[in-house]
Amino acid sequence: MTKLDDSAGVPGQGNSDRGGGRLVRRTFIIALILLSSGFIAGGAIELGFRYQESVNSIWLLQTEMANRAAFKIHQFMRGIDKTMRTVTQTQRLVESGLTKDFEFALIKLLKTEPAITSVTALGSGGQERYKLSRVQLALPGDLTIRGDDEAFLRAKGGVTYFSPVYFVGDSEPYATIATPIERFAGEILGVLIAEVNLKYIWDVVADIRVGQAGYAYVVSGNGDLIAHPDISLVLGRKNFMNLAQVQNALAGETGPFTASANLEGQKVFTAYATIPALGWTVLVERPTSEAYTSLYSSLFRSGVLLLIGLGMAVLASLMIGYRVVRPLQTLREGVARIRGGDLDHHIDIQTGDELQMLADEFNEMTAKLRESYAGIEKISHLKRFFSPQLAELIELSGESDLMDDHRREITVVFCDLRNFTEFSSIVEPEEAMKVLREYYQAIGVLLRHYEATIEHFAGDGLMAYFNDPLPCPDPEIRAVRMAMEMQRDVGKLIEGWRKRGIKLGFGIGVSSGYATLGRIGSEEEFHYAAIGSVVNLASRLCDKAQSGQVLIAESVSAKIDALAEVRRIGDLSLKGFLKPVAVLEVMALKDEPSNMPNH
Amino acid sequence: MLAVDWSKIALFALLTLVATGTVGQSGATDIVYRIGFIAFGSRPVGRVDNSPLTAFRQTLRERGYAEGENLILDERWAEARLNRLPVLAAELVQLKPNIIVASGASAVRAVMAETQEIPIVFAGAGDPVSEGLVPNISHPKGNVTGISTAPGRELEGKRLQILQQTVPGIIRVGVILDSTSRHDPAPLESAARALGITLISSGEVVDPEEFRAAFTEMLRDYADAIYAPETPVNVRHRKLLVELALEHKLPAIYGSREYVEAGGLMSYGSNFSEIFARAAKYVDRILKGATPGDLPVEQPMHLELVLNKRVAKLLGLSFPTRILMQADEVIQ
Repeated sequence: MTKLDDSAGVPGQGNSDRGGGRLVRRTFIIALILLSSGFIAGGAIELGFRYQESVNSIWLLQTEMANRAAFKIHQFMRGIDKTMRTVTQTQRLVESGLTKDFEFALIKLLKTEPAITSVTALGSGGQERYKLSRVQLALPGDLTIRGDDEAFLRAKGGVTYFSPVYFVGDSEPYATIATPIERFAGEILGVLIAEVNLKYIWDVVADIRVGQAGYAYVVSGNGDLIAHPDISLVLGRKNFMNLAQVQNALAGETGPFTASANLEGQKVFTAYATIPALGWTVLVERPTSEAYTSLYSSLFRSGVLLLIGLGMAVLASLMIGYRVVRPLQTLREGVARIRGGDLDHHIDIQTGDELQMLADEFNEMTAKLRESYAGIEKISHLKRFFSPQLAELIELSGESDLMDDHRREITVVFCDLRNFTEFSSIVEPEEAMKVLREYYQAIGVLLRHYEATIEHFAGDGLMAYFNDPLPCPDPEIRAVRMAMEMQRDVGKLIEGWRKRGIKLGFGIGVSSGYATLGRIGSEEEFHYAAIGSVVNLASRLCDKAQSGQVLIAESVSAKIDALAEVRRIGDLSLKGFLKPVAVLEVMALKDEPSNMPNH
Repeated sequence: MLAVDWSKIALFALLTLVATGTVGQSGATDIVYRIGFIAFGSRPVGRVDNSPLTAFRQTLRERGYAEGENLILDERWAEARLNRLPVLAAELVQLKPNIIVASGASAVRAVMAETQEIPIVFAGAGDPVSEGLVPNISHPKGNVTGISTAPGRELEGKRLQILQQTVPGIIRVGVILDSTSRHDPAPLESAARALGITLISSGEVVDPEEFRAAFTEMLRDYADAIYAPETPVNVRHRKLLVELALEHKLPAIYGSREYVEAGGLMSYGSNFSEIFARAAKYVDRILKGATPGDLPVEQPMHLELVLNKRVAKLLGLSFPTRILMQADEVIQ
């Protein structure tokens, strides 16, 4: 079990709380949008169709009302026409022209038809024969000839003629009806022309019931009001051409019309019917509040259903939100604990879905992390011997291969401080340790720089070598370079120490050759060691070296001709070596020593 | 945790409900309306039921105005004294009524002199434009509108014709005029000429003595018939008028049925009860917010010919068929 960073979980906690809140909200909103947009789209389409259907049926219903109103109004005018024909169609009145009794027929006509203000009987030539008015004095002397009158000519043709609407005395709407006077069908002896006061249509129009607040009115072809339940509008000679619905109706547009304002500015739904024989248009208006009652209730029902649907969508969204979020929360807490270092934590989610899979992945990942940490511990162990990057490399490439026992040609570097043992025995331990730290600081940098493998260090001495566990192409060159730089850097230290009254020296020995390498020690505590005469030789050369000297074996010098100037010291007898050994000293490097990696 | 704005959902729901619901209407009103009424004549006595004012009240009642509840009707009767009208009109205006209803052009003018603000509805005026009550029939513009008694001045010629058709041979007709009217005599005179009738003007008559004197005068001028238009003075003195006509054996035609009911021979004209009823409808509309200037002057829908057979018999006459055929009512 490993605790890496206990504090890491604390700031993370706050973050993931907020993140979790957002997720619930987002999940909820997404679910809500998806669900409710379905409902709304469906509802809107439904509402749209409902609206269209309702408006169409209202239009049809109201058009039917307008047709009935138009029929009644047409009937009213046709009724006058019929009475006029009936009253005159008596053998006695029309023997071979209009008889004297005709005047009585006109009196009777005025009696029967209150809407007729005056009536004139014309002979077949258009001469006025009899005239009777409710208001005016009609004398025989006033009778004129109207042979060119359109009313006369049309009726003479056997057809009832309805004139355009005109106004009398500035306010009363009138129309002329002319009918043929026939003895029998086809034999036209004259024409009867009646001035009809259209005010009397008021009775018809006012009687037309259109729902609760609806009403019908009649306009002429140019928008002049002919009949309206409010007769004042007719007498006031209103023209309705400025109303959109009147324009539409007169233009013969097919409905449904959109609701528009009536004369009072009230919004009304309008339908219409025409009376082609009269050239009139009957409009039926109902306030939208009434006309749309069925529409509104239908829309209301749909709206309520939509609201219920939306409510359910909200609930479902919440449910989905929590179903997703609760395991996510478990997951998040688990991850937070793992992040906090608890690698043994097991995230337990049993939803049987992707979330569970995710949790399982996490658990696997945690297991892998545990293994990794074990590896990391080993790496830290390796770091004792190798440079950090080397240690990681060894770990990653699989330590067993590299660290198994093997034999290889290596270049060994031995170095130590001269007189340190005496120095350390006479000064305070703190002072000795300080010197030692400065010393190791200086050579440590170079060891890491040249990626040397440190075999061991003891007190002031250190053994390092090249070409193992990782091979390098130029172990001798690296070793000599490093040795020379050590001399240079430690030499500076020695200079400094001498100023402080500390007299120390520094020598280095380098040799190369085959050595056996491998682990020494138990499974837990082991040592990576190099064994062979090459190690001994380097050690001896180090011993022989005076302060400031780098002594190398012949095997080394052979490889560094290009690098350094070498002076042969001679063949020396060294402890542990049967024959004298050729010893050389590196005098100086031929070039600047800074073309190594990482420089 | 929940990011839904419930208040918006609630608002949406509320709007849906409001859109489909109905807006409550205000209940019964406590307003009491005050209507002034002014006429030249006398307060009707006796058979009040068939007086035009009764029709006026009746129509108002049908439209939800009841005296003692939400209506005060201030009546002012000049009792046939012309100089009383301005005083009474001023009195009425002082009461600040919602509307003043005036019968007869003289009464209307008296009120018009007192106010330009209070709506005036006239119930019966012969020719509102030439009487100076309104500039225009279809768009009266000012604060005055109402119901006229005749569709035009031509009606007077028509009356003369009916009189002549009833009593063929009459050539001198006495016309009872009064000073309350600004009658334009031209249409009547031209109609008389066309009919071959000479008109004998009564001169201005206001009180009973003048009526008697006028009759004596007209007889001296060989009047063989009488025409009495529906002026307020004539209406006020109709009883006396018909008595004098009968006494002097003169056939006569009058402007409205009231004369015939009082014993006159015949009348042709509009029905005052109908005119008053329609005036009441205008009162209702104005009380509901209509502007008098926007309400066109209405003309009578019906002209009625009323005959009195009993009087005819007393005069030794019989109505010819063509007259009987046109009659709306024949009093036996």
